[in-house]
Amino acid sequence: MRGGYMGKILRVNLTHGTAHSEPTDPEMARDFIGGRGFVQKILYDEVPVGANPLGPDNKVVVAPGPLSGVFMPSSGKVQFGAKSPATGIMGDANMGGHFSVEIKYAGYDAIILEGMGNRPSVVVIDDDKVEIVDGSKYWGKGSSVAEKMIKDDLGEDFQIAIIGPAGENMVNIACVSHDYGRQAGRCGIGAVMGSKKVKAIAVRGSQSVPLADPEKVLEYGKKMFYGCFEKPGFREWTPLGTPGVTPWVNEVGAFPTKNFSTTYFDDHEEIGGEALKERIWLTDKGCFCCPTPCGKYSRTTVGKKSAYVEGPEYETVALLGGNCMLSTIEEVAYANYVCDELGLDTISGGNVIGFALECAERGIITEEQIGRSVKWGDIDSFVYLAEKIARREGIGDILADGVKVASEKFGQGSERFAIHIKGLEWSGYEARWAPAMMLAYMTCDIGAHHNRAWAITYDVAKGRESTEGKAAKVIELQRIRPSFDLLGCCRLQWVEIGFEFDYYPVMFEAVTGRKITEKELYDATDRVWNLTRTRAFLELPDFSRASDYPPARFYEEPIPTGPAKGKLIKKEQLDEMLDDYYELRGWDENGTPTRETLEELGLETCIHDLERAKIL
Amino acid sequence: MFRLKVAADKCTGCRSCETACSLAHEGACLPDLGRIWIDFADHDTKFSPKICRQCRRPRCAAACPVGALEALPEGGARFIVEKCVECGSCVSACPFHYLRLSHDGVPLICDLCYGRPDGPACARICQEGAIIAVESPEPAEQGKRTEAKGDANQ
Repeated sequence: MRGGYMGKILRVNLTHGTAHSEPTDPEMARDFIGGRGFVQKILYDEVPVGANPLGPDNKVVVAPGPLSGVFMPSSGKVQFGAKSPATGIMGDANMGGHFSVEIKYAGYDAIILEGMGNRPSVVVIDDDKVEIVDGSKYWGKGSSVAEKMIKDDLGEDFQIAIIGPAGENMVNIACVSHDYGRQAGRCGIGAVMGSKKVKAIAVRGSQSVPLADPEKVLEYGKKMFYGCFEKPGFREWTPLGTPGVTPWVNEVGAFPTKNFSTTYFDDHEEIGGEALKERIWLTDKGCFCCPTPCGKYSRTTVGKKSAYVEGPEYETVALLGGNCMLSTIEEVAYANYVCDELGLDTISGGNVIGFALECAERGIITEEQIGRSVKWGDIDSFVYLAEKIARREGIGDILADGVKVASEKFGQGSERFAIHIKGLEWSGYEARWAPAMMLAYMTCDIGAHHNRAWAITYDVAKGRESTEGKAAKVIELQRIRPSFDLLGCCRLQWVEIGFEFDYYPVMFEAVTGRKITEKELYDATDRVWNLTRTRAFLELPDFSRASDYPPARFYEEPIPTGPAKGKLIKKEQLDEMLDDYYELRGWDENGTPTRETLEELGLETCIHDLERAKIL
Repeated sequence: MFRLKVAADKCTGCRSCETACSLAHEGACLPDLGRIWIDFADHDTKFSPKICRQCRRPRCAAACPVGALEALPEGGARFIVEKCVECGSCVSACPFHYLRLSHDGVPLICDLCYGRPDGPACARICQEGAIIAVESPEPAEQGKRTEAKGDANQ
């Protein structure tokens, strides 16, 4: 390993209060590259099958990638992973900011939190010096309040990953926060940190990332920046950031509205990028080395309440705005602030609260159970429910487990509109009239998440009725997009402004000294993809093809209003796409990876484990 | 001849400038080694890039007890690493609280990327317009800087 890797992995044991570092395994670096590859490989190898997600056997793995911290556009993504309390399978989430690069500068390719502490703690990493310090005074505090306290205590140059009260209370939809408004939101990683009593990880480093060819990195890094500047999208996309897409998603009838009952929100202009920029925006905030800052720092005022908040980004606009029907950007931003402080993932949070509002409207849960009357589009109802969930109080204790568990407990047909796959709540693209996007959600390895394959533009471009060719496109995207997660950089320049992917393998070589082809990079993503899939079969006895279907609302109820009125993808179409997908992936008709596929990828361990579990 | 200007309200705190600078000058990807740095002291949104003002009468040079910093006629100072005794007097003397030391204890002196064809790396990389390189109006005597940086600028 010549460059890109720091050569060490930090292992922190909360049970014993110890920490030590180990050499990074060069074979793991070769086959899994880094970032999410390291996260999933370490989880697969080290967390025993059947481990309680909130018990001492689960681990939290945090990993930047080989390109994190390098001079090139947006090289600051970090991956968090653990066995998810929400889904029971391996989960991960990523965030930007400056946490990723600081881990590299401190000298590590990954941090593993294992065991379980019995007192609130903060893991303080200052290069080689690692301490587990008492975190009692920060416990119970909101994410950004506690982050500021820790920075005041340790120093401004520490980068902090922190949980809010939701994580402390082991809420299944709890996120990890950083830099006053960046979140690794999905899969309840915050709850796993909370179970270990780790309020925060604070990191500071003073070591440069080793570079195989520093001159080439400088020259090529500049070329990459200049390449971004020249894209027309650079000037067009950046000012509004991700919420800029809101009108388009409504026009194409894909905006989650009223708990995914329909796909067009009448007030979308009041909550989109333009409204944000005109009414609440203060300044742009960029992640490490980002030329297209999507962080829109804002100040919002609702009634007598006022707050500074980063965002809301598109997913938050969709799930708190459309899905809970908050109809002004001020309210959406305020709700965003409340979720951030409590440490709730806004995607899952918007789902759970939308689900609760629908249950209340249908009389499935009563005013007495909830503790007050709640209604759509009411900020006070939203804040009330969010706080109940984060503190696991009353009805919030049930909702805190996510829509899957809550709908099983509420019954009465609520499963139909509990919008999730595999226990992970749906993110911001309603896919009833977007077959490729639907398939992307169905097959995403952590549950209903958009980031592995944002295929809706393909549906809109190539025809939204047909299922033809959709599986191949979804797989193509599931190879390109996760490549960024392995490399430790952000995909938004590629997605949003059309920056070419060809740059990345070249930069990878300049940094690491290892020549890599796009094909080899995609093979590494396939390796991770089959590893997580295998693990799902091992973890859950009833995991099968059936686990890949969306809730019944999505193939039985045509879209009732808006531009996509009357549209629906039928169950047979879902089946066709899944058949295509499994075949192209080299999986059997139940979605199990075949021996040949696993052999080709060098995943002999997976073959062995599946055989032992009598699945293969 | 360039001067650097800062428009702090446009800074997004991304640290591209710091990283570009550290790579250009030290061959390292480590923002802490940048001759430019962003002050995050106000926490949330107030990012303030700190640059060398290229003083006419640089206090850093005047404060150096061993002559490791030499005032240049066009403003600013030239650093002679061999003479430096790592005392930090220059840092205390900087009236703008700009100057800082590397991990090795030597001052990180901005040379405005003298001799680089595309100008100061920090400004070229900042498309937000928070750091702008402007042509200095008066012709500058560049003899000493050229001599000092002769090798590095080939």
